[in-house]
Amino acid sequence: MTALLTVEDLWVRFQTRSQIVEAVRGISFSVGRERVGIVGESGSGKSMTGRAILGLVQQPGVVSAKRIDFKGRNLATLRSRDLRAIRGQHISMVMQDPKYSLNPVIKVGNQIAESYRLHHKASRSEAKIKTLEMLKEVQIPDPERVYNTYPHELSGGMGQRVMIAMMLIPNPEILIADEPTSALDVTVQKRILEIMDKLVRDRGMGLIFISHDLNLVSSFCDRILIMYGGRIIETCAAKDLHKTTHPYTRGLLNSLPSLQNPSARLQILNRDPRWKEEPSVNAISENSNV
Amino acid sequence: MFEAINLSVWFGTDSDKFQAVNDVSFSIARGESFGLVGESGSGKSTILKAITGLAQDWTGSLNVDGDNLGHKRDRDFYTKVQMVFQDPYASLHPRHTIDRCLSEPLKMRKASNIDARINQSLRDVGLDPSYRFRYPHQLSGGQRQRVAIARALIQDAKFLLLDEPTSALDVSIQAEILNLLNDIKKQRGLTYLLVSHDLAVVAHMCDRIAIMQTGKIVETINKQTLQTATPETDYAATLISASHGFKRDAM
Amino acid sequence: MLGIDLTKTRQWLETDAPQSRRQAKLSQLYVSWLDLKSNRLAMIGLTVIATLIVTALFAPLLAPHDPYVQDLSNRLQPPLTDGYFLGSDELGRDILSRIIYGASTTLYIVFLVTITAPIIGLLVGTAAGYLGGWTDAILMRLTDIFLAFPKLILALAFVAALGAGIENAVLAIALTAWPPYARLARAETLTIRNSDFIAAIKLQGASPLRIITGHIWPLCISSLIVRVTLDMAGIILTAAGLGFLGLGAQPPLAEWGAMISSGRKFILDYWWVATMPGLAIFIVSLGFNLLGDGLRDVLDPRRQKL
Repeated sequence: MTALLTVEDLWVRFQTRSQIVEAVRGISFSVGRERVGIVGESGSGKSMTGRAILGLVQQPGVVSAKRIDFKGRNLATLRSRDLRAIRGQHISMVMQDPKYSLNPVIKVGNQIAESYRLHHKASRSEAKIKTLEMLKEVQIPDPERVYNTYPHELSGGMGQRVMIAMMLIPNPEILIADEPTSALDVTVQKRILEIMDKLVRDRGMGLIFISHDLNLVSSFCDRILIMYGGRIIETCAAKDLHKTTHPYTRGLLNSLPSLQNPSARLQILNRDPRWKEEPSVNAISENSNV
Repeated sequence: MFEAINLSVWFGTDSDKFQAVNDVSFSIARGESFGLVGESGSGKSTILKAITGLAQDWTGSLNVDGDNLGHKRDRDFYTKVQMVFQDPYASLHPRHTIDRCLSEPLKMRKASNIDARINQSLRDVGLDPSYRFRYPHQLSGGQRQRVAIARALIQDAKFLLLDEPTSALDVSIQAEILNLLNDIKKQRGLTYLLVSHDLAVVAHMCDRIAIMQTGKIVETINKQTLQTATPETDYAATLISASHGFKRDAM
Repeated sequence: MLGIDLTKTRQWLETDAPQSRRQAKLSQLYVSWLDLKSNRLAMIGLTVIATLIVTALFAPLLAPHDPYVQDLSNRLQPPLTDGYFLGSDELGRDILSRIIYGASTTLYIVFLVTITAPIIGLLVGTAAGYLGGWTDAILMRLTDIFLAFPKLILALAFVAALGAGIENAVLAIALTAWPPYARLARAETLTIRNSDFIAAIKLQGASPLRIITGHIWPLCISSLIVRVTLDMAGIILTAAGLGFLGLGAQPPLAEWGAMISSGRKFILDYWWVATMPGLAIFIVSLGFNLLGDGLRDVLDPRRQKL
């Protein structure tokens, strides 16, 4: 499978008054038409990675990379104007809470239509038709009615569907999803994942799924990257996760309470300071055209 | 230790009225851990609010340790019942040191030996007393939650309400906090009412579990039933299967 | 030897693990100070204010002439005349000395208003915001009433009732300045009131008084401080305006507004008489604004503590 996106030696650094904080420390990975899950705890650098790809890291953060190769173009060296053309149209991002990502004073349908018109030359009515089609694709039962609602009138699950519609309407090749279901109820989560699954498969997209939920990622993705302290500490196929031997991943898996395997005491993860010093595992898939 | 009979809680009045909890009844024995599971809007957190007196519009009866609760709470109540909140970043006052946070309840009670009690209380939750003069922003999420637990324990309360105590924490930290809660419960003979949306956490911590949906208790199960037999109601079954993760072929 | 002490003190202040209440508080203040220090404009503002305070305190030592002594043979001398660095006014008094003495008057006004208006506002606003219900309604209507009074009209009323003078002018300003602080404090209280940490202290059995004074005030104070420094310019100008109208400081008291007023007649031919005090007001107001902006950045609770 050829890679859509290849990231090599990505660093994200923040200069504070007293020191330099390294959020992402030299990671390399590739994403093809597959689902790659990036898992880690808070502070592991997983969200920063997603933002760095899209150039969304705010000052005083600095992104540097040997290359961020997207279909032959190096995103790391692009001017912001060119990066804006890629953002949204070719690589899109869905974030955790639609409340904070949708404009609260504009009707939802208009926001999606605007997203469409930003990337395609289309009239208002054409955009509206496309929007309604997209709303149907994310399985919103009454697209006409939802078109005219405001974000605060939608439940969490509906809001996230709208978010997905808005991000997928320009037909990007890659979707970055940063904790897209963490704020949702468990039953709603399932439905949203099903929708994402269908859309990604039907459109042949690449998906980067960022989450703290190991089990979720292992059941939804094809390949997993586990991040710790800004580095990729392990990479494996999703189905092999439960055979992992790395002490950190093992520790994470064992510390989860489980319905099927109850225990009186949960296993504590003992953090080995050496994990922070291990070199980052290269997760550029062998099959990709580098 | 605790009993709720025909509890109904609502918000707003007349046309705006929202029925958050609808005719709920359950009881908790002394020394038991009881779980309330449900999705958002199920009313589980509202029950906690009614018990603590933060929600005042309710009918029915609430009984803690033999005393019937009215709509107001007195000092006595707070020495029996305490609560640990969900968000460790919001439950500690940002401008107060941990020392102030823990000493204030003691000072209000005119307790003696405050210094020693604070140090002991920190040790009891696994924090070194050197953390005493830090501010919340100088602590990690897990450490803040330990302080919140220390605060709840410092009044020697025997009935603890736990409102999603680990939802905002990393999984590895969650394990430490859950173990801590279980240890403390055994040491001090406490009774827990744990509210969570995470079925696995509740199943690990609790002896009996009530599943709530839109304000009503749909089913009450005990730990064994969760793991072995199938639940009685469809909703409970949906929750259990959903907590097992995403199944691609199940589509 | 002094160098070693300073390093140890700095380490003590920069610690991430304070060992006593005092160390905790002082280290927080130190971190905020470092934050402020990194803001160049705010430091300029602070320097201006510091200069104002020093000038006011040491006026008799700094002023080259007595500000009240008249020398009619030397009236209306232009700036840089021998002995009159900023020129002299229509009665031959040295403008520089009058400005220096005027600094104490300005500082006096500013100090009086600062300790009254925001404090009244804090008391009223937090009580209204936390207690709600009738208390809120009554206190807010009271606030609205005072907000409706235009400062100058009230000052006129006070003068009519009590006679002109600087204390009455200050009283008038303070009485009309507190309502915005009350509104600000109330808005903050309404947000804070629903926090988990307030719920937690309620669950410890705290009385409303303890909650308001110990938990809500510390969080409101920063926005009030910022608001006061930003309002300072307005307060000085209002006092100057009152002085200009003859309602505030009475002659021969050196007050910047009164100086502008008396210099008005000569503005075309002898511009310095009115312009010099005007520049003084401008610089001090600017200083307060810059400091206020800097303080707002430092005290903003949403700022990440890095």
